[in-house]
Amino acid sequence: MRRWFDKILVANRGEIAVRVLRSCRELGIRSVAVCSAADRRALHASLADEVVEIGPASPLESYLRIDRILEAARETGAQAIHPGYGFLAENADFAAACAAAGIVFIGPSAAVIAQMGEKTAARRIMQEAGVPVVPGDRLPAPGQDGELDAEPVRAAAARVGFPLMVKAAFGGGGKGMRLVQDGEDVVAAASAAAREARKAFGNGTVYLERYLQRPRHVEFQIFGDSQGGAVHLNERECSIQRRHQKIIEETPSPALDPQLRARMGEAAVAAARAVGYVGAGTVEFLLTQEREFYFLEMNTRLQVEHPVTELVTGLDLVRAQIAVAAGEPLPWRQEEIAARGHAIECRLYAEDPAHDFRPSLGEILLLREPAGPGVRVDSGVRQGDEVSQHYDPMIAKLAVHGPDRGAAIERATTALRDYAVLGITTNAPYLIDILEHPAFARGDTHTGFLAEHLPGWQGNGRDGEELALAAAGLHELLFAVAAAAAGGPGRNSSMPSPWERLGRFRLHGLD
Amino acid sequence: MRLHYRIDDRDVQLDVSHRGEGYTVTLDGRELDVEILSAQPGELQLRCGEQRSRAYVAVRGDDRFVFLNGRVFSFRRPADIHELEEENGNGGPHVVAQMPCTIVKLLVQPGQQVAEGDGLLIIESMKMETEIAAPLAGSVAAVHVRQGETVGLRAPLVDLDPVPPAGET
Repeated sequence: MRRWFDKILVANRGEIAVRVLRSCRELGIRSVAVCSAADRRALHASLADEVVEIGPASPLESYLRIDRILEAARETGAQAIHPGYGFLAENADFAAACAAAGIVFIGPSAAVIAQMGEKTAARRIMQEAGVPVVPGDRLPAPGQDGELDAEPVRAAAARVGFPLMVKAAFGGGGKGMRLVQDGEDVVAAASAAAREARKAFGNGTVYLERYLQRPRHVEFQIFGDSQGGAVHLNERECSIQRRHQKIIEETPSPALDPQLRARMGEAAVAAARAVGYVGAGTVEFLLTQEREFYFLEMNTRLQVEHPVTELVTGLDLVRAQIAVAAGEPLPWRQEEIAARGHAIECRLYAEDPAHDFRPSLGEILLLREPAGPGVRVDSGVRQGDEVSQHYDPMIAKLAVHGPDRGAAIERATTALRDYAVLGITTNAPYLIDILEHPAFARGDTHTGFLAEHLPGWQGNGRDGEELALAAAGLHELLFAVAAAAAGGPGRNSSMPSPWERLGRFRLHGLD
Repeated sequence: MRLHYRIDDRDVQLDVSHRGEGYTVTLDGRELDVEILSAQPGELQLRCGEQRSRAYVAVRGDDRFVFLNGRVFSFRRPADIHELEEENGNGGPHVVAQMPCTIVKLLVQPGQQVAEGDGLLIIESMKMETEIAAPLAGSVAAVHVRQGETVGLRAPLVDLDPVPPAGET
């Protein structure tokens, strides 16, 4: 097999860096990891052939430092950079800087990233390509004082209709967004969103979009090559979102039939072709209860949720990204791409869902990942690792594959009940409750699902507490008496317990 | 053995006693019969009635974390020497074998004064020799084993009479 690159640098951390590094190893490509000072001993850094430390823990001084990352690539002789998702993955300046340095950016061109990063430009391009967009209207730029002129805003709002959303043209992640109901002050809302957008994104341009009721978030994985080829790899439904953050994704969508899938897939490929897309990308749509779909935005990178597509299609998206970046044509024709069964991904977060989802930081004292047929874990952490406040609280993804949706749900809940993480709190019980909700079982999902069905989630109280206490007590009895005695009041708790040094053993006569 | 745990603001008292093949755990007057199917540090396989469960346990200072059937429970166990005193009624703890082992060497005799951390005896298990240290200062009340003897899980090894902490009589 021809080697596409000799050496690739992975400009990311956590599970996605691990994912890409594994593909590099499989392809016989030498790999370079970059890490912050806090990540010297992180899993991703341990999996690469070479590691370059690029700065302190803060991402602004490390994973977001274009200069340091390019320097690391030059130092190590990496020919290509995989950006993962997040950090610099959708940063047009980074893609341009790679190109200028003669290093292949594994992703689309800087021009495409910039076009799709500006939501209003993306909407215009899609409209011209015949892709339906949510009815909406641009607003003139705010004045020096950050205020918008009232008249043009009112006129645009009247054309769009209520309820409507004010959105930031250069935004994302829920910032610079406002929902405005009929009768509410649209000018005040638009001005507030503009000020927020200016602070968050450095540009206060906002636009209006009709607010769709209970829409599904259905996105299509697309792939293009430098010869002009473009295909889609079916959809993923990502309606289960908390504060605009996806937490459960699945494919196929329970809402799509083959006809609708074909129509939406065609629109997604048209979107890819409209910008000459090269590499892996995602075209996001909102799908209404009336089965109308509208372009939402295009993500010019590998998505967090790409494993569900890989599970049902049997294809390796990272491998294809690397091949296409090396100038190869797409490895598949549209008619060769077929999906089997159903896949669901759950994002495991280090957070406490019973206490306002506050981040849970600290050392992972114990980690046992689930395994079995159709169970895939993409993890960025190991037992003993520290979850720090500097990075995203998503520590791992559980993706399962089953013959049908019901089987996949059962597989996911079973695997989550086998996913033991101690020392930090995770959202696993919350994920289980979502998957076991009757509305989820019916496939009756929309972006307001969690607010509608699981508001103020508190978990299952004290179920199982007695046996858990018994387990704690028995564990104490068997393994920790000496340690506990040493930890008494006024005593030095550093006295070693002999049992800590013995490691694993099995009690005889108890089997 | 009596153990005290704190769950949020609640205090819970747990009595664990050996019975037959298993253990009886008494909690707020309720008895739970639990059999240990297998055990290693951090992981217990338990049977309670018809139910078999795997529990993972982690310890950080006074914090105890238990993973059971997909849920995580957090307890605090305020380190308290009185738990040990309650155990044999004569004011001192039993030092017991925490796994089947052979007594390699006795380091103390009845009546001997020991400081916390002093070696009491050396045992061998899994082909590794380990010195068992006194969990607290006191005098040796009894030695229950002989050199060369093989003992089972939870066999009493040495009884200690603790030195009363300063300020108490």
